[in-house]
Amino acid sequence: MLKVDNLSVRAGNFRLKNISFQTEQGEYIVLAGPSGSGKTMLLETLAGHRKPENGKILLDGQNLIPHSADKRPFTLLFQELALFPHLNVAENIGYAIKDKNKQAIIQDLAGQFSIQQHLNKKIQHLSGGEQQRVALARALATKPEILLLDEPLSSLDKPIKNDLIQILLRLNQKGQTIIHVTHDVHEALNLADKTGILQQGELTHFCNARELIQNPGDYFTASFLDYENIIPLDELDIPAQYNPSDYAYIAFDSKMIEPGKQNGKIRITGKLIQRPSGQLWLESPYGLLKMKAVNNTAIKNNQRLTISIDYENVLFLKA
Amino acid sequence: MKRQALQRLFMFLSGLLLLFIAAPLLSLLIGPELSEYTRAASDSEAVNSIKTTLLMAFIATLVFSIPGIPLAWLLARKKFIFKNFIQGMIDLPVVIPHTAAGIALLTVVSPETSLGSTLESWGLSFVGTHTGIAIAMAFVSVPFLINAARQGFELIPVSYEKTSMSLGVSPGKTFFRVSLPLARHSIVNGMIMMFARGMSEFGAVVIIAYHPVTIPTLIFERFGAFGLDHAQPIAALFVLTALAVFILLRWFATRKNYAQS
Repeated sequence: MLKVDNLSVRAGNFRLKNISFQTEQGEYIVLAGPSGSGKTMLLETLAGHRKPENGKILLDGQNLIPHSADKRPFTLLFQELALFPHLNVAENIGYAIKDKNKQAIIQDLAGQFSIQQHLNKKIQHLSGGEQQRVALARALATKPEILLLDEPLSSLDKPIKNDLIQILLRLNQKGQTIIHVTHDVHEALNLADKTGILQQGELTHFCNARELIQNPGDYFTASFLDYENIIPLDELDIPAQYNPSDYAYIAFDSKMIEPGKQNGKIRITGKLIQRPSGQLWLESPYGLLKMKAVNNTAIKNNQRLTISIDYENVLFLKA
Repeated sequence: MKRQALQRLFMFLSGLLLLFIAAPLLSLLIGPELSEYTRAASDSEAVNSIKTTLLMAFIATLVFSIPGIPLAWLLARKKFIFKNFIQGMIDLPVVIPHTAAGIALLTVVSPETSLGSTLESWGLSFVGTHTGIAIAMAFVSVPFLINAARQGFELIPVSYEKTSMSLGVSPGKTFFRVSLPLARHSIVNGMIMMFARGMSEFGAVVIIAYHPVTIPTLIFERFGAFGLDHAQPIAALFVLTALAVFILLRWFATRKNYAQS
């Protein structure tokens, strides 16, 4: 079990602040956050490349902070893969293997990742997907307790991405603990057992995906989760019982609003825009609101429309 | 100005510059007759001084690479106090007059200084010795090695080294298995530049060790005592030797590079 306890790290003016979370053996953790939120910094600190100001990294009760990167049972796989260009594929995979059966281990890993035919090739002669497989095989060659992945799916073509997702999920099914950081929240929601949200150096959420979607809690998380319609509360007339003072926004799903439904308590008037796909948008005083797509030929572009939503169908968010 | 006209202007200016470099060298090489070349090649003092020069420049390069390469790595990778000052200090021997560099060295290694006399009591003397020639050459040429190697290390993404350590390989082994092989091209270039600069050094060498005579000192001596006619053949012979060594080193460096790419 990995327990990260109150970890703070500084780099120039940026600071990771009091990060705490824990994972069980075999869990798939995805930490999501926008650029500059401290994702890579957190992974590098876990891997031992950065010294924290305070806090603990406990693996099965043992504090890893005093251990240097080469002594930690984690392998960090960078986004750029960092495959050694002066070594061939087999040499890359076997780079850190100390076992006397090194060749057999290389062959076995090459088989698992379907790269046997590339073992004697230089890294530069492989496709992006093949390079990903070699990098993963190399990372697993030392049997790490935890695999740390820095944006592994970014900037990959869709087929390669799907292939890699399949490999990662298969690895996780076999019991490999994975901590994966990404700027893409959908990756987090689709892959993770538990998802963390990093915002400006703080881990604001750490829970399973369903809980996160159902209760994003604040404006940043809701917008990061791609909630389509978020409106400031102070611009709406909401009864006090629904509007405790610490809420600042409401968010609602596009499926909750469609033309013709007028029985909700929150009413918003605006100009309708319909796209050929049937997608409807309402140009409202609070910005462009996405509505449920309908196939209604009676709807005309630019017609004025009032939509309504019930309090029960909106999420109240903190600032 | 039109693109073609600009190109022509650049070609003209480049031609002038190339002429400026090539004309004296060509004039030096085609000046002596074959018999003068033969005489210079059988002049034992000239041949010995060429051997001394090449050997000392080679030894200086090899010996000073041992601390020079790690220093270059530190400058490329680490942040530390006075880093800019240290970087400036490394460049200083290149920009000061080389006779001043020789004087500066002499103030440290002369037997009249405490360090110099201590080293001499251990059997290590510099003034008028081969060791003195090597350190004078190194003093003015090691910045070429350090700067080239530093740039080479800077070009390697730090993620390579971090990945190696994350795979459980110690920082020391990471240096030898990742950093050094990946920066080797820059390091070899730096070593070639250091060797070249070292063997052409006159000012610092002549202050520390007039004897044993290196080829720049011999050329100066022959020119002063007998004039251009006597200095030119040995100068030309040395230029040809240096050219051959240089071509050989460059071929070796690029051959290795092709083999590994």
